[in-house]
Amino acid sequence: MDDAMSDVEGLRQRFIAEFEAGRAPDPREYLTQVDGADRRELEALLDAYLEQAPRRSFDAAAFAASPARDLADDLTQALGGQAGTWPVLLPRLRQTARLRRADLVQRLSAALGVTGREEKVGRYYHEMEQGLLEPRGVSDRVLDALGDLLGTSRERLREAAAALGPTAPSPGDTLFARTAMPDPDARAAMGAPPAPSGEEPPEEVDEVDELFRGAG
Amino acid sequence: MSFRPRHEHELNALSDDELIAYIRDARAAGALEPARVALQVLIFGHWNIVVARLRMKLPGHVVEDTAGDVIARAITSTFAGASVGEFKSWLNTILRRAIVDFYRDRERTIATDPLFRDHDDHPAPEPGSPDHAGYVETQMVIQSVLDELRGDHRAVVEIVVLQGRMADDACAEVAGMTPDNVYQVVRRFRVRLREALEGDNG
Repeated sequence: MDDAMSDVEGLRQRFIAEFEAGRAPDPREYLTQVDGADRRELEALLDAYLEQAPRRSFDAAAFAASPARDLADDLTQALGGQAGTWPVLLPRLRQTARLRRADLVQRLSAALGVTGREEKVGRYYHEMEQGLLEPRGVSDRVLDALGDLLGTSRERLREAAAALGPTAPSPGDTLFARTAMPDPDARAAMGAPPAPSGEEPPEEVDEVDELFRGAG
Repeated sequence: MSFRPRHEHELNALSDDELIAYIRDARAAGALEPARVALQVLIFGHWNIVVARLRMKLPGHVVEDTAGDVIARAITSTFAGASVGEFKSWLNTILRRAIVDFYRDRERTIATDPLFRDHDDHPAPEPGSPDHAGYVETQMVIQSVLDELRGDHRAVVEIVVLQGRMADDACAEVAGMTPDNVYQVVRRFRVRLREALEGDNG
């Protein structure tokens, strides 16, 4: 092989060796070492290799430090819930929109015309992110407002809610959340915990309940 | 339905499609913790592959979010009732669509730059494929050069170039191949690929 091909071949082999050793080499570091046609060829070869690369064996320590962990937790949450992939989709959209949960709840409340009821809206939104709220009960007004805030559409949110099909887990099984306690942001958005049953009469159904539970 | 939870090492030995079937069975049985372990095996196993491929094609600040979306969509769509075929192929299809969609969306919007960049965002230059058309064309070029090869030569290229294995493996698995043959087949493929990429580029 000529010199240019040897350079590309050497970089290709080094990348593959590092990748197969279980590290996570950044292909851009290899691509920047060649220019023009060499770079395009190397990119094509690395992509073709990765397209066929077999699944990596599980490594608990590496997994614990990987962003893949959050996704596995969210998907498990989704599988155990009743709201399709909302537990996967909603936190990611919120993160992309750079909105803390409390800020989102505040804006959502304003958009729904229920300013002053943020605590209850926050509880319902928390249930949506956890996959605990029956999606058919959530009104189009809520989904339209959420869609505007999160850069998506009512249709996509409805589609995500139906994405996992109808299978439901048995009620006796335990669903483990990502953390034992919600983070401070979540706690702030959820407001005060409900009073123990028996001490106070149940809350009356109001406009917020209608918006989040009354559509079905 | 009887569902038997498996140990992690057993799950590691399952194919992607067997893992998906196991997760579906676990969910149907209400066994979420076994489903979680299988999801971990599946997601971890593909994470670095998807991230590395996206790093070559997308700006750094969207890579991990997009990787999560791609893997999540690939997995959850297998629960929706529609047959998606082999999981790995389906994952590759969704990844390609995500890249195309990213550039299509970017053409429609003014900018996608983040409000702030992560401190550890990689300093390396952004990907060389400036648009979705370029990415799709590169994929087509590789496929067309592969399609030009006769069967045994294609098998050699797949083993040595695409799977990153040794020439000895090609000699062992492809009838009549010697190390010299393998070297020549791979060299000719590389020369042809380069010509095709340069032609496509020009």
